[in-house]
Amino acid sequence: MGSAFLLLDGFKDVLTWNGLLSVFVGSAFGITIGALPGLNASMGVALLLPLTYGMAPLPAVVMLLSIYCGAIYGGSITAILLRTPGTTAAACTVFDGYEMAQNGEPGRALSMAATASFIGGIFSVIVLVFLSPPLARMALMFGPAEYFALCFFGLSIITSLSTDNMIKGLVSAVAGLLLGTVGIDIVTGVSRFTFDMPELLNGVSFIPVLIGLFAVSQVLVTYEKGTDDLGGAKQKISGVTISWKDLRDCSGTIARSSVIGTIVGILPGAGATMASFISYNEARRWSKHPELYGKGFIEGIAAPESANNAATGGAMVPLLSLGIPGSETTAVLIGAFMIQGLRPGPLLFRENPQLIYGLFAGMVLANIAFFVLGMLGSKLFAQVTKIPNRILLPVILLFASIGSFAESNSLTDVFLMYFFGVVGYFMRKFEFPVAPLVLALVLGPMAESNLRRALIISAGNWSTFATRPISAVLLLIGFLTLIMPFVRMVKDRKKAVAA
Amino acid sequence: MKNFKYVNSVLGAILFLFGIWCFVKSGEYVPLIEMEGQVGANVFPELFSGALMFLAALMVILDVKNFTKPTFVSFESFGIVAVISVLCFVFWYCIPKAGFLFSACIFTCVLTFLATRKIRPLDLVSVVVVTGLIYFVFATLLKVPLPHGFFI
Amino acid sequence: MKQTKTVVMVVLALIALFGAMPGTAGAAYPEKPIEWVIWSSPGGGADIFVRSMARILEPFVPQPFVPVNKSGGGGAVGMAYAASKAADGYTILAVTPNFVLTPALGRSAKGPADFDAIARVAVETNVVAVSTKSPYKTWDEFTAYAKEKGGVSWGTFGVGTSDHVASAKLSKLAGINSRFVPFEGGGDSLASLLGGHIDVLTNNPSELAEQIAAGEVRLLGSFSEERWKPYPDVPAFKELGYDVVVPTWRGVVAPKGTPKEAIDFLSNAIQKAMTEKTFLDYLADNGLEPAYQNGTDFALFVAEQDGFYKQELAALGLSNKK
Repeated sequence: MGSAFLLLDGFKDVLTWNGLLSVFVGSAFGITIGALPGLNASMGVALLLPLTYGMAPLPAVVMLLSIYCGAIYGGSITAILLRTPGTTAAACTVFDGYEMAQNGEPGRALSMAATASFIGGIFSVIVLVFLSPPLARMALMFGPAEYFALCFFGLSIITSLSTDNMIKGLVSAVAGLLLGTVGIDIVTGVSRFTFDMPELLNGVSFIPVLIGLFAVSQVLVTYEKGTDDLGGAKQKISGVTISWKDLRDCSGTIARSSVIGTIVGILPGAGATMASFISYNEARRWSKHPELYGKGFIEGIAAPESANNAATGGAMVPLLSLGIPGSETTAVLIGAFMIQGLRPGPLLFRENPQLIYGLFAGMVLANIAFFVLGMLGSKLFAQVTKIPNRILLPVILLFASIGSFAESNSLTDVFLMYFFGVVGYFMRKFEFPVAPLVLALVLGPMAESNLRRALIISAGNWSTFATRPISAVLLLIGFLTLIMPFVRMVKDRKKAVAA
Repeated sequence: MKNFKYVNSVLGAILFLFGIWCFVKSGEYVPLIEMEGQVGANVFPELFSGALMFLAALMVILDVKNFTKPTFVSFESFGIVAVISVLCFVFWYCIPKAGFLFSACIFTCVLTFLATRKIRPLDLVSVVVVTGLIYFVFATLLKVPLPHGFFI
Repeated sequence: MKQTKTVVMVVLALIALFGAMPGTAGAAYPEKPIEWVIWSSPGGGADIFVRSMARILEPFVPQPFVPVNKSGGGGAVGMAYAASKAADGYTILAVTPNFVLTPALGRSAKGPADFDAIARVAVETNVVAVSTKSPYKTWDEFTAYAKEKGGVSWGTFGVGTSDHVASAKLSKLAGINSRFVPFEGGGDSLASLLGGHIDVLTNNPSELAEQIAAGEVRLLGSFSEERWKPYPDVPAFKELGYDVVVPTWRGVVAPKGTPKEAIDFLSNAIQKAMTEKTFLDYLADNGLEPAYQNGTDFALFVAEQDGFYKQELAALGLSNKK
């Protein structure tokens, strides 16, 4: 129980006026950055980095961690209210969050997002404190073959996401996979589908596509519906916060998603976005009401939100115990550590445990801070849904434009965003589901590059995927998930014939 | 359009053609160097476009044979959607020329007007204020280098 | 009436908000903030480098630097953007070997010919590393193992990067059959090495520093001209008899046609800043070796590097083809 005492010491170090101030400033800034589309956690950390130059190491690092935790939570706010995910990790939250807000329950959706994020975040910090070294070693067992298997597992949920219209769902997924191949192919260096545009060399940026498909298409659909909807006030806001019953109903989902989020977060390169998608699907798989998902179901917020915040603590595991950054944000954090004269890694653990445990305590406080701010704010944020559409819609388009621009300061991305807005509009018109495309766009490139990496390592021997136990198991589950809806379809048909 | 039964067949045909185009294009992506165990850059795009062609063909066949529900689409109020989409691209075109703030103010005002088809000064003022505020937050506080033009 | 008043107020507020435009008075360069284009995203290696430098340069330049991130395409986006700006000394670009590699690979229409050199700031190197769990202690033991096994998997950052060029040349000279595994970032390849998924990797020593200190990773050699200072025990491949010297470097350039006085001013400011202890400490912490060159010398250096990389890419079969 040595860790527990050290953690208490850590709290002593952080619970100073300076420490608390940096936690709250960091969290508030992080939530803002996260909520604003196009600005993500790593940019938030980079933006406030200069402020920390003159600070003592502990408050400096704790402030940056608070930004990180706050930003991941903050992404859900705009996802729920405006159908514009503030960060990619909040992409899944759109599916049920926006529907709930439109059903007059924005407060309930927002407070569930804050609560689930909080529980997920705290769970992952506990894991970080007590289980870091063994889990870091586990993460190293994941090589390219295992990453491919994990991506395949993530992708296999496409069929169950599109049970309403299997073919259109699959078309949407394949389109996403094709879109994911745009850019320089990292394995061979060949540029694919780039049409001599330097902006496309790094691939289609994810945020503009996401904002276009979700937010812009929604704006177009609302305009189409006509002026009745555009003028006056909407229905009354009910359900200001979540009830204990909501929390009890979602407890299983939150627990499962927190575990998934932490594990996926630990794996370098996987990250919060993947964690939220996988846990969304798992929540649906285990739910008593899978048919309610995507229609404004509270579990559909609890799952991705607890998972993406659980990934924050997870991502710190390889960073602190191995010195390996697992994501863009943690890479920026390494830079921030170094400015303070600290190098994250096994030595830091041994030589400066006091700082490490202060940092753990700071992360606990950061989670508490964004939870408090989020719960207090949810009532206020919920008022956004009262803004008449004639004002709200132009503002959403404005946010969408700046958000797409801000990620890489590129007008090409703004064009891309509007282009995908129109595409998204037609997809909705012709009843193509959007979720498979988004999922395929996130996981497709990772699946492809890891498959090819694994084959180079094995010198072209495909059996590497079957002989490595982790990869074999994940591929098997993935395959079963993939064919499940078809099996069910055949069964249903047989039943219908028999009846 | 309202009673056109074969929307899915038409869509399938278009997607099929798109698949062919992608497949042909993918064939060009031959790697410059060979390595043991290397899967070429062309393989995955070819696989995906092949899958797209297959699914598109399936879509047409199932639709023609009436195995799937037909999709009915109404384009009654498509006019406003078309106008807004065009406006979005005009806005995009104007950003580097007229500057972000100026084009954004005009853009949001026009959109507000289109929502109600009435000029209501209070609406316009509040939209302009919000636009200015958002611009201030992003450009000044967060230092996003939004383009300037001939006019602020 | 009330509405008119509101409108006036708003207009006034907006004017106040955006009225703070840079003035035009004054004669000496620089009279307004200088835009510093970075071709990585915020937080990337080049980004932190520029932001740190901008801070250290503050006392030497009367106007602030405004870092602008234009990431993508191995620097292609940043080059295209910077080259499109007016050559008035108010736009500069931070560069690395991608400055010559990306155009040579046919990924960028703009290249060294579209820029005037201002200064080289520092050089770095790449090193070859294996896990300490592996039995081989030296490069020679490793080559013997590799030949016996018939091939090794070697982590790099993708085809046509400076570390891939160096590794490919080295393994060719040593007669090793290497399968180069491309990774997106230093963390991913390091994790794969520690997990035993790849045999060997090439990376920047500063990214490995913590692992070296913790005894997880062993260096076999460096691609520098002489032994790399922080690791005097690690041989340079040149002294092992392989003629593979692949330096990487960081410098600053401006669009072609930038006034000479602006270039000289910035070049001198950088030279002065490089005597500051804070800057030297920053460089040392990040595995960079101060190696100032003025604009003229840096231009010659870039031309020489351009020739070198083009030749190496051609030898690999990667030269400017589309």
